Amino acid sequence: MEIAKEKLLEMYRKLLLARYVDDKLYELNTTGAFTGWLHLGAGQEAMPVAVGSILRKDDYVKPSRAMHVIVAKGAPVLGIFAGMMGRSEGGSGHHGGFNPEYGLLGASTSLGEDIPIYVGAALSMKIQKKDRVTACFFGDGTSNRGPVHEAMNFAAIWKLPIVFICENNQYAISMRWDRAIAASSIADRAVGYGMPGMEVDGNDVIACYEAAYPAIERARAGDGPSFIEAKTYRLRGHWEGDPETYRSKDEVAEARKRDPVVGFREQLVRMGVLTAEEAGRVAAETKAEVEQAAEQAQKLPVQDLEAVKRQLLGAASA
Amino acid sequence: MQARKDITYRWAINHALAEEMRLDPMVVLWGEDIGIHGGNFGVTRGLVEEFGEERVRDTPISEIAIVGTSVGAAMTGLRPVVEIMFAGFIGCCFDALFMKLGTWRQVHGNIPVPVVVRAPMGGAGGAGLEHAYCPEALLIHSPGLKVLVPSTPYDAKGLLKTAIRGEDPCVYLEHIALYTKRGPVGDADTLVPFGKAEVRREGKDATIVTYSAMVYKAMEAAERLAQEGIECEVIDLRTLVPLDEEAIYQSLKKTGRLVVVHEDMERGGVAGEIMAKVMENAFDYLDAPVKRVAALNVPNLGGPMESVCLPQAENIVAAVKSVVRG
Repeated sequence: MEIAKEKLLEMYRKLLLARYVDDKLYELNTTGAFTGWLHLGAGQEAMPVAVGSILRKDDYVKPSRAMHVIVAKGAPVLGIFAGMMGRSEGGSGHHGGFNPEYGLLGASTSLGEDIPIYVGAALSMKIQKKDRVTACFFGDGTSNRGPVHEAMNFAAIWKLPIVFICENNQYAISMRWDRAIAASSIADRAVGYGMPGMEVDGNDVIACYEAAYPAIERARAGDGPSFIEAKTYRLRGHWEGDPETYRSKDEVAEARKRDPVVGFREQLVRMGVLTAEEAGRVAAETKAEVEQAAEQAQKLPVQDLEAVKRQLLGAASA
Repeated sequence: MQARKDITYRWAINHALAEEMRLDPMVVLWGEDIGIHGGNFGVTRGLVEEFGEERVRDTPISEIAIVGTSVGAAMTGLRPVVEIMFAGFIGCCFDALFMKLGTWRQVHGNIPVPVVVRAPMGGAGGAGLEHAYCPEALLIHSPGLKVLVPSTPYDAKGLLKTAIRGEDPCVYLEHIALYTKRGPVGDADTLVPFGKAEVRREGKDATIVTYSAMVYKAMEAAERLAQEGIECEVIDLRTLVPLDEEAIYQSLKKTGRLVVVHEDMERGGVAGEIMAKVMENAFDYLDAPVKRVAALNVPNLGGPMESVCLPQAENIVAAVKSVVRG
């Protein structure tokens, strides 16, 4: 399929934005600007960037690990940093960056339990005859959970406007996906639900775009759900500080050669979409944008915890 | 309230659903066998015929998805009323109910989550186990959920209507043994407010605080005790969250003696919470130690064991006598 030059450039910028936000969160976390467990997603940006570049602002989206799809959908980066650092202008509640204006309805740390929530949004759109699509990301590990099965079956029998995207990054913490799943493809499960399923190179932005676009169009047209498995690789540990005893440094080094950020830049230069020099300029601008947002977030007043408590207790007694 | 002919508790629920669905097209139902089958207990009979399959949706056997989807649907405009066929199946959707439905509004941007989860509960006819489970202690322990426990057709209808029109998630526990109870109900505009207990019987000697089907056991006990000259006040809580603490304290001011009764297991039950509240806020009104009457701390095996496991009127009679006579 033909992808317009503007769309390719948009995706390149978003790819960099996602990576730099990831990097910056690492830096802020390790220098103590905020505490708590951090699950980054370097290496997995291609599919979230493609999907975030296809969806409308009013479509619903559930991220898998990391902030990639939130960034790619256009939610302000400032909100992500402010939310993570407990600043007053944070995205929403206690979950940094989950800005409902961008179709984010929250995410669960009990994995896959949020997928029914997004299937509920898709059901709601169908009943209300609105043409908003839902895109639901999850990992290979999450794909084994019960709620995913129940929710995907609901979506299939009711032909809901939703796309399920499994980012197979090879590992659920330490459990490599082929030790957790006997089948050779997670996408094959789609057959069992009666929905189209396909595998795609999850490090190739253009391949991801070409897989996601028809699935999102199909959902919007009211023809039902689809399932895409994006094969990718988690370049960092499951959390920052993960000793990664479960894989070799060589394996990670090998995977780094397929870094989607590098790959997409080379591809765009080869296609003549932009020169190496222009690519460098986009990178510098994007990096500056991220630095500025992080700096701005740090200057925001810290959340008034007493006010939050009052709000919580007020809601509880209402 | 204009006088209306008596209907069953089951039909009171059905009428509340139908009336609210006529009023608001965003009220949508889903659950197992609620469509053409009319619900496992016949509560949704006739609704698919009137409102169609788009708004009365049969689901596969998938409790997680039934409750989980209600959260997302409510955040995006619908007012789902979903059914879990038995309250004992709440274990099948624990995360969806306790970690999502109850908390999502406060965790994620204060978007209202107007959901009602209907769940038939309690012992009836000796079914036992998952078919007779009382989940209310788990529910009140979880933030964000309103917990409704109607005992009469009037409350069954009025509380459900209030719940459907509200902005917060409610778990509506309909007692299986009460489906055939008859009584008057309010009209289409009659709502029963949350957090307002009802005094079912006035008395000066002891207060029995209870809810749901145990209201009838408590009334039976109170009649027997009256023959022996002990006059009990019976308070029907109607909702556990919010809890009408004031109604309990006001009654204790008069009686000075308290027995809390519920069908759920004693350990970690609602009674413990109520007794703690009384200790904290109404200790000075008490003339005797408080007592509770609840199910044995064992599974309700059902069959002939049901009456052994669950509290009976004679247990209540004995408890009241012990607090009155010491």
